[in-house]
Amino acid sequence: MFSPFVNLIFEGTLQTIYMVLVSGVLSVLGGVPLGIVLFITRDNHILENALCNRSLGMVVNVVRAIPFIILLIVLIPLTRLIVGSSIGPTAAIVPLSIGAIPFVARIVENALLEVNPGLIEAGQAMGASPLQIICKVLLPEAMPSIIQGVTVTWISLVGYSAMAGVVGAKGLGDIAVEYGRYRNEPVILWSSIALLIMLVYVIQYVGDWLARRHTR
Amino acid sequence: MLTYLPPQISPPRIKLRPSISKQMIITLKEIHKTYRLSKTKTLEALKGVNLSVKRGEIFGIVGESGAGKSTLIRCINLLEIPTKGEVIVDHQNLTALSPAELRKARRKIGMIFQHFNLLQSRTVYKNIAFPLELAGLSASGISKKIDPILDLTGLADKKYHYPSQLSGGQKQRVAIARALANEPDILLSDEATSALDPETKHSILQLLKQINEQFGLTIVLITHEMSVIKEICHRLAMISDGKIVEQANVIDFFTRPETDVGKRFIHSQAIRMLPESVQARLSPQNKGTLPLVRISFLGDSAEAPLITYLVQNFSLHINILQAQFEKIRDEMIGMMLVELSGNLDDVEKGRNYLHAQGAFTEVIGYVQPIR
Repeated sequence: MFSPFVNLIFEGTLQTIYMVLVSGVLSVLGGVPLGIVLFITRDNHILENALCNRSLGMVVNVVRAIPFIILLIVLIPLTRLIVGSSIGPTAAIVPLSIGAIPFVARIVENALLEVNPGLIEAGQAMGASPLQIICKVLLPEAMPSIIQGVTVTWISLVGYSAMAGVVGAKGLGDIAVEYGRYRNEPVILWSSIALLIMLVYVIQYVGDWLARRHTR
Repeated sequence: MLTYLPPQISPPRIKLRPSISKQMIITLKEIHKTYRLSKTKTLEALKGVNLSVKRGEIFGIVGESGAGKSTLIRCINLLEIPTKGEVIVDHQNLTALSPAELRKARRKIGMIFQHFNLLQSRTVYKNIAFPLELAGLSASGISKKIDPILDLTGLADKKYHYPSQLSGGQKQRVAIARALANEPDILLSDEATSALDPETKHSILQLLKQINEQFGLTIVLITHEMSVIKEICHRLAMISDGKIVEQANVIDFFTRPETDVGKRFIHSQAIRMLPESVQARLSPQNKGTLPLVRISFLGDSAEAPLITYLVQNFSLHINILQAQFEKIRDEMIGMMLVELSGNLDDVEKGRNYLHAQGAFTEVIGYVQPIR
């Protein structure tokens, strides 16, 4: 009795960590550049481009407007195309990443908006190219708020990964619903909840630590 | 009572320091800048500005907020692109350059700002290294260049501090150091001392003056404070409503203004110094009243007992209403407001005498005598 229980929870924890980690990294890889583009193409910014800004902004808003549970279902064909299956943790990574990318993009855009515009001006006055302004001025100056925003995203991903259990993604959330709700096993239910809470705490702790290291 | 005054005789003009060359380093030709506020509304910030700055001088542009001075200084390094007109810096027409060429040209034009604009995430050292990194210098090349600049700006002990640990004056020193790192030919200063307390302001201005004298660096600064112009500038331009309304040598401007704008400014400043009771009796026209004369003494004449000599030799009655010494750059200048009365001949002789001594006199109004 003891060993299968541990195995179940252990496996679920690994699946959740796997989903959050991979989709978290993908959302940063996709969201940060998208956020930068959203920022620099705004009116009166370094690479002003109204068409690009409006259309990307619209895509971001549309994806963010769709509730995650619906996004999961809508994206099933795409998931099948990419992963080859719509069931399991790897399959869940597709909707999790696609749902989180626009979220990260807006967080990055807002973080960049908070950078003192005088710094961009100073960079331009010193002969910085747009790429140098992004890499040497905007990103380092906005780093603490970007890290805090990404931390929030990763924590949301823990919650969304549980929701993804509905479409057979497994993981801790799925175990909690399956064993707690349908098989009435409170020990497993509360163990998975405790592990989810611990996971959130670890993410928050690491996020705070990183943000603090970048704050001057 | 005689109120006639003889025509004014010009004393010799003050010469600029010899290190300032006659060659122009910056020339702005017919600069216009119009902002589109909305589909129907536009704002004309600059209305045909012509300006020339000589290599090696400190050139001050003074004006009230909204006059266009911020836009004007940003047109020099093309942070603002003029709607019309040419910007020539060091024989190069910046308005005709490609973006990459412009970035290269900007490396030779340093700039400092009212709010410093330092990178918060970088140390003092890294902030100063920033323009050198942009230019592609190696880490060792950068470190060789920075230490002398840290010494020059008095920041050697702050090398590894972050901007948030520095005072306003120290931040502006870092900004100056950063602007000097690429060994520019020109330094643009955008209200660089406006956010500082008087003492710090003085020390920053002295640093700018020292850099100008030591390296022959041309400085163009904008300010809303005449005191900044008086302290370090060789020449000034006054900007009002997007137009340059006066350009003059600073010492000439304060001692013997020539244009109507200059005269109006200097006269109103002088009159503001008078007690209110005198101001009430003052009128611009002569109605059998006493001339109010502004006398400015320059150089040696500022220290000679000229008024005593005047009273003793020309039997003039001199009522001194206001007198002060003022330092303009390194020059001591005496300014005095007096009521003159005496016979025509004596008034004329007296003024001629003053002019011969290098002083300058000018009637700025007429005072109703108290009966």
